[in-house]
Amino acid sequence: MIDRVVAKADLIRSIDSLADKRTVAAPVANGPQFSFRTITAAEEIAEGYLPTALPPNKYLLPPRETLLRFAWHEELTVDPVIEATDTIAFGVRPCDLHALELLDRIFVDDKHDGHYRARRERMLLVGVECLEPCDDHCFCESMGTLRAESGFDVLLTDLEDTYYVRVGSPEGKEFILGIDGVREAAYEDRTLLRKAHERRDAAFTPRLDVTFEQLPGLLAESSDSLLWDVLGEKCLSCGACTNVCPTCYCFDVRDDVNLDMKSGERFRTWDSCQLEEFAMVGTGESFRQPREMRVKHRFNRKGRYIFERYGLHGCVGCGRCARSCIVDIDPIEVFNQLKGQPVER
Amino acid sequence: MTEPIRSPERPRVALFELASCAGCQLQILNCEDELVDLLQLVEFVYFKEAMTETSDHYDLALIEGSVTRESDEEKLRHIREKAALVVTLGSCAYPVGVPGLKNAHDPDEVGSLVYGEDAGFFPTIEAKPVDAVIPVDLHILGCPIHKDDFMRVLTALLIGKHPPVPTHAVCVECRLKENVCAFDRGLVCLGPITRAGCGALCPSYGSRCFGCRGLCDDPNVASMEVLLEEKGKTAEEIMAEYGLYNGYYARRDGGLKAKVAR
Ligand code: SF4
Ligand code: SF4
Ligand code: SF4
Ligand code: SF4
Ligand code: SF4
Repeated sequence: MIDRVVAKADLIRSIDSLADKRTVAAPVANGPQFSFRTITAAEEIAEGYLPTALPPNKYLLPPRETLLRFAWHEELTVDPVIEATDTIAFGVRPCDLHALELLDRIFVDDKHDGHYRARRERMLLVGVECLEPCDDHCFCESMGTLRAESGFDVLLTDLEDTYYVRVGSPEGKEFILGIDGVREAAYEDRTLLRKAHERRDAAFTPRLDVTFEQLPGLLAESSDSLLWDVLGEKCLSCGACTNVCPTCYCFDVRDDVNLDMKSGERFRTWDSCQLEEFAMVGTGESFRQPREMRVKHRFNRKGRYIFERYGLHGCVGCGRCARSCIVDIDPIEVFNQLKGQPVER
Repeated sequence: MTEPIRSPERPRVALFELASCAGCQLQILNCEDELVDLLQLVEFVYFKEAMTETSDHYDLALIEGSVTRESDEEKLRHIREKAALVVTLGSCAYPVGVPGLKNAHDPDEVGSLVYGEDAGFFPTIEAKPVDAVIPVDLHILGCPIHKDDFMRVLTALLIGKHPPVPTHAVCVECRLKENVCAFDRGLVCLGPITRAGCGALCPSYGSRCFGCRGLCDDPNVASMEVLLEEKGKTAEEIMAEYGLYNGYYARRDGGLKAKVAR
């Protein structure tokens, strides 16, 4: 599809008017961190934001979601609950675009999850390219997730006064053509884009001592590493790392019965492999009780299992887990330590 | 699929009060919208704040407050014999809330501070949680309890389903709210070892967790203490940190690490 260019002022005006009509979610500053929130005007959007506290997944797979309501009067009735609204997710980083491709693969292609799918179909993803590393915790360059070639409806690149726009879908084309003042990209624009990319490529250096293709092998070899014990002693099992992770999608399903004892609802909530209860079975045993096993499982999910199963990234290097771990467990260090000094038992 | 969910009989419920502010009972009375439905399900046979009749026959005993007198212990043992299920309400009953603050002071001093010259007529003992005296089936936590929690636990018990008490830490709920972590605000916080269920109430209002819901299942207290030390807390300060709500067990076991190991 033809690339476009839009002046920043024109885009801002368009977002202001769209925010009146549909849900526009964008990163907003919240103290030292950022969160996707529904905005009413473009000026609320944060500049130079780090990956948001929770990833944009929360709009597709909410932390708590009613799946169905049931009632038992004359007979049992079960009504599925599927709630979706037109949503524009604005300012989604490349790492998160990669993560959403994984979720789409699982919830749309593989599992046909009607709740996720209804929301996904009504979501327009406006990506924004990263031109500098967000901080010391990000390692997208090593994971191969810094560049997004797909998974967006439009992808913006900041060229100071304008945005260079790549279009990824018919909906994206409609969105961009709806903006007054948008024009086709010319030779000069392409030159500016190339220069921006050259600057970006120089700014990002790999943070891992392995490539993401080597991670599955490294993790398989490291199954007996003493590092897991060290991490297990430190980890608080607070679940922060999985809650904030854009590629974590595990959930628990429960029923609540109302006080009338005749009706209730089934709902799902985010779950975490770092919690003791996660791998607990009906008889009360947990088959992944030791903390070090839980930590090891998470890193294997991130660097190995998902990649082996779907050929997609189980970790997109966004650094959220490291930023939110209060005992400083950081995947960059974990992967590099496994590579550098395979600690044997 | 024709079995009714509802149990045919109305279980009898008695609510007892030990040392507390009665705030948890008030939470139940505040359930205005639900009270009618609630009374269809259970029969209250003893509830001091709400009724005058009393009875010594009940299936479910709800207990609010801390043990602070010898006579409380006898009362609890009697209740345990009578009731099929004993459920506590609030932090006073577990893990010992505000009544436990006196444990850090000289008992005689505390006695005369409160009762003056009459202190001798009101002998009290160290404030204890209910489960230090009798086995407890379930704790409904919080200072005060949340009415929704109360209703959920009650309906679960009536259906005979495992009550929905979170096993994990407050941090799980806190991160879902996208709060700025207290540790990133220059504070310390007991959220990583405290049982969830309050929706991370205090951190959500710019404060931090003081541990009012007691320890979660499987807390990593050892790592938590290393972290608190790294944040500059001395051993005494860490004990004081636990003192507000978890002081009884921390003192009894010489720290919360030992409580976990027990
Ligand atoms: S955020 Fe850190 S402490 Fe918490 S569960 Fe994850 S690794 Fe463990
Ligand atoms: S594991 Fe950490 S760095 Fe990787 S995607 Fe999840 S939050 Fe981001
Ligand atoms: S991790 Fe990489 S892609 Fe994600 S926000 Fe940071 S710099 Fe951008
Ligand atoms: S503020 Fe407290 S409860 Fe919230 S994430 Fe930080 S440590 Fe956990
Ligand atoms: S945040 Fe901590 S102190 Fe506050 S209500 Fe929850 S458990 Fe209690």
